[in-house]
Amino acid sequence: MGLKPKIKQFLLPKLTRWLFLRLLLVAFTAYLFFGYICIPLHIKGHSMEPTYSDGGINFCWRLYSIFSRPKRYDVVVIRLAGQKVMLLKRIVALEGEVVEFRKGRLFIDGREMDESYVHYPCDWNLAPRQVGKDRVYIVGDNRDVPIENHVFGQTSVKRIIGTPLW
Amino acid sequence: MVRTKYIVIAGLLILSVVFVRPCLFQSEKDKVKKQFDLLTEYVSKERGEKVLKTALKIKGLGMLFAESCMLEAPEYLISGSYANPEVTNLANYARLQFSKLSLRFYDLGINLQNKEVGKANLTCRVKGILNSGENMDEIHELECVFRKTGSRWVFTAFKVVEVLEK
Repeated sequence: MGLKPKIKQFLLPKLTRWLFLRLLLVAFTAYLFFGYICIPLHIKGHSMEPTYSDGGINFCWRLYSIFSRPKRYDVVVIRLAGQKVMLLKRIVALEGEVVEFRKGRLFIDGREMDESYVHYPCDWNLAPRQVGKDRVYIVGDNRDVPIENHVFGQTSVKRIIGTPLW
Repeated sequence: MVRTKYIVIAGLLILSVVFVRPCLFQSEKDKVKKQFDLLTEYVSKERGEKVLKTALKIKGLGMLFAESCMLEAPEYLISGSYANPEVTNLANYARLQFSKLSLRFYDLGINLQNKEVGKANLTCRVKGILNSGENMDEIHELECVFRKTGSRWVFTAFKVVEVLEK
């Protein structure tokens, strides 16, 4: 068979029962994969800039927590409300650690942490507080806003639903 | 030809059951969902809403709540048990702050513990324009408890779930 008929057969296949079954299988697999394993994300907001920009597209890899426990500096997707509203933040402290901000610098258990991902100036001050059991402390990378206007804090590990694919 | 006819008849029967069933046979969960729909309708407000319409909505709101209701929204300094008139006064006061207000519920998960009591987890999005012209857009996760009074379901508790603790 020449190339042209093959292309034509690929682009305009015969409508057979097997074609419909294959299409159904592909559609079902795509539904499972993009609905439950690799969820499309549309990033809204500036709280994770410059790491992740407003308007960016990504995927939430839900198998993240199956292969490893949440670690410091991991960027995670947090279920904020329901199944559709998520937060994208970075883990800065783990269970039992004491978190503090002094003039924009992050301190964990009294030690200043290296945060090379923070590019914008920050002047936050936050009194020391301990991260509770089965919780992590999450903060955005863009701290160039008053501390009251930034959504951050400690949250249950159960709310972590995945990590961005890239 | 005969086989096609049977398939078409079967399809029409299935479609009619799917569309007619909700109208004729309302499950208890459907009735609860209806109460949430009414809540969004009564809380929402369009610009230039007439006084009579406001009064009717507030009256309708009152009928959705039990004689006393537990409200927990620490962020808004609301915490404790409120009598029905207090709940409607709170709602009326809140509505008066807005020239336009929209309340929507998402991801409603209803769990009927028995024939008379149930719980729901849901996401609520409140969007509006304050009288000062400021825009507001907030999303919260809620836990709600309701019970059956006669043939109606009424709300007995609303709690804003704190996702992030600074």
